Amino acid sequence: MPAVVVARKHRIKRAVRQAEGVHGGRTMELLAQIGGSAYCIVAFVIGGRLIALSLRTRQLPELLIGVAVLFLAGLGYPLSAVAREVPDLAPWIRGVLGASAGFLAVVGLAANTGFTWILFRREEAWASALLACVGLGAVGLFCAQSAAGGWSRGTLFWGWLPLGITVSYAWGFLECARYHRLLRRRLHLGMADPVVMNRFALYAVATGLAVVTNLVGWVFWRLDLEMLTHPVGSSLLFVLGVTSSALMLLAFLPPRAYLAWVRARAPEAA
Amino acid sequence: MGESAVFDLVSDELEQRSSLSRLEARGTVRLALKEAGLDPGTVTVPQMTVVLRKLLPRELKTRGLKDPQAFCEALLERLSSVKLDAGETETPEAVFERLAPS
Repeated sequence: MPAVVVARKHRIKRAVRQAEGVHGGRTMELLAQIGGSAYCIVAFVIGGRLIALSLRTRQLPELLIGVAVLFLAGLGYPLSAVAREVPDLAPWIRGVLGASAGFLAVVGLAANTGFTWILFRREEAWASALLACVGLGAVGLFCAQSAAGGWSRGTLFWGWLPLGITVSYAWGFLECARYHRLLRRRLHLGMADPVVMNRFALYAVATGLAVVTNLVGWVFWRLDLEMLTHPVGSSLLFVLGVTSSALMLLAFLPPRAYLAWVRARAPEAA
Repeated sequence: MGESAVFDLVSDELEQRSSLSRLEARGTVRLALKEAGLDPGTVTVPQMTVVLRKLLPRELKTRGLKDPQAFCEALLERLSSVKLDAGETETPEAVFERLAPS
């Protein structure tokens, strides 16, 4: 076969492989966007609903968890993504969006940690100290980023805040998992509601997944890799986003059929 | 966190009405509460009532008390005759119950 023909065949094969790669990459990116968007929409709805509930009951715990869910995931993440990923916007608009996302994340993180504190450990000194550390650390990061400028990417802020978010969610995960175990024992004696026990389990797993998502996102950030376009990152975003959304919906907006199923599966009290 | 008034009352009664020492009496009640998934610091009267009916008799039997059932009935009577502070702290399950329809 003449060399020209061979070279031409190679060029065509390369072009096909490249086109397939681009197509596959776009598909993965789309999946990641679906996972991330699903979680943001669910967080927006549930967070808003919990804040509305707190206005009716005038109780602090529902306000804290509502603010945490709405501010961190329902508003903060999408705003920071727009600030980072939409270069067509004017730089000052990207800066304002980035700073707003940062502010929402600080309030959301403090509220999330406050929710765990008020629910489980409000009388313990170490827990109050942890709450203060997370809150002050987040405020410190916000001030440092504001002083340094560059909120459109917020490299300093978003580079370190996930560690605070991880600590906060990990604490919530451990407390909810522990409490779920206690409720399982009570359930056998007829002292617990299976639906409430199941809600603790769903929320524990959802916060556990949030820990994984934050840690993975932080590793990608430190390695300067874009999660959305990376094959592993985008797959993880899709799976974690869709699973977390489903868990949050079942925990805070459960269909009646699901509640009936949980009750039917509960063991009889001794 | 300190122990609740309910825990103190039942432990003290158990100590006075049996040959168990203070440490043994409190430890016995603690074990029964642990098996029920309850905390000595937050246990309520209705929860302690269930423990006295369903778990403590078995714990007392293993410690050699004669007729633990009658013993627990007497403790139940004592528990129902006193008025204890309900406590102001809201339990985590009460909060989680409110967060969504059940």
